[in-house]
Amino acid sequence: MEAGVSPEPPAPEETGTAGDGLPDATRRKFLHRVYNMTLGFWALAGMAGTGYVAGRYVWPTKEGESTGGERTVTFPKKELDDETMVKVLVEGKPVGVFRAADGVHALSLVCTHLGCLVNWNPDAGLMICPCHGSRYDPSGQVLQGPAPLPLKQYDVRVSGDTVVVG
Amino acid sequence: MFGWKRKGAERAYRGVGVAALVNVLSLLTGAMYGELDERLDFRTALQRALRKPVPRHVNFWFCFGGITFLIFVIQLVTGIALLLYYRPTVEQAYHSVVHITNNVPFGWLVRGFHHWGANLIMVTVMIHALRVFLYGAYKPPRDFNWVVGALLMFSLLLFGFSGYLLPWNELSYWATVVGAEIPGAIPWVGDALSYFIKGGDTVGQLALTRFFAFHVVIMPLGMMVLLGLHFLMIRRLGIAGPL
Repeated sequence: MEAGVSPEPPAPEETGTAGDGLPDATRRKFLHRVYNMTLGFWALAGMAGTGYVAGRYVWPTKEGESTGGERTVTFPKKELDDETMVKVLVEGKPVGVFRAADGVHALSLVCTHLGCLVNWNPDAGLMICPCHGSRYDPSGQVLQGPAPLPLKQYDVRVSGDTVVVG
Repeated sequence: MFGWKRKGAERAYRGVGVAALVNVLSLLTGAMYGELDERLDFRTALQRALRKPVPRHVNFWFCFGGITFLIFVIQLVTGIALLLYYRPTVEQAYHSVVHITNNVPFGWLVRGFHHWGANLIMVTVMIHALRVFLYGAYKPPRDFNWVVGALLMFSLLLFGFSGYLLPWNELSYWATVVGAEIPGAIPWVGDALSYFIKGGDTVGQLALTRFFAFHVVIMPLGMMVLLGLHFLMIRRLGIAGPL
């Protein structure tokens, strides 16, 4: 004996005796329907509960969040003279400070294409991304390449013998 | 599950109604079921798999093999979940386990399942082995299946031994030191074997790494092969006759 509602259409002689042309709603069919729906309900509830627990468990925990970082960074001016570009972290993000023909600039080093770190090329006077060749001018505007957006600019001033970024 | 015995019938027919199962699966697979069934004929496959007559003498004690397998599946799932957060280095292992237990949402539940599952599976597998033994179900043609079963039980012991080191706490460490020294008592090959197991002279990072690989990859693969053999043989040979 099996529980469950048969999905085949009823044979002609099974169509009901109520005279309305529809198959009879028997006690058996009702009980079977109740049983199946109960199973189905608890199956869904169980899956929903398990899905909730699993979802909460696998979502990255707090330690994966990045920390704040400094909003303003200072360093001695001497470093800017010695190196083509000084790399600092402003609010946890890499920023490059360099001297271009028109003065000192500070730009985000994260290429807006897919996140590689860009390099300042003093001969070309451009920021060049080593991954896919995007090129930016000293104020961050995209000159060429797959990058969709300009690099973020940061405030930078030279006061005395220190450079202040941010 | 919701079956019943018909007294006087040729055989007791216990089984979940296939149509009920199909209805529940329809709920789960939704609109796709009809189309999939037309192409793949689930219905026949399910009927062949599930419509097996169960002999009259099968009682509650015959359930422990399946219960053992159920717990094993739970260990696989919770083990994978733990693997998302566990860090297998001597500096971080203990802290990662503390992190799972205290910080990760429901981490205590996942770890708890894994811990208790590991303990309970040893109990259920022993009851299963005892039941098979007392019913004489190890006799030919089932003798090779008994051997596979013995290998499976030994695999479970190895799972327990290798898994226990991973939290890297005091109990883990000293239990592993003692456990890895035991093979050292075997004549001639003992010292080499002990050295091989520990990955060196002492239980350290090398031991942790190879126990981790063993517990997470090597043993699960081996276990699945053995389980496959075990189940194939049972289906092929059928349940052993009554006492």
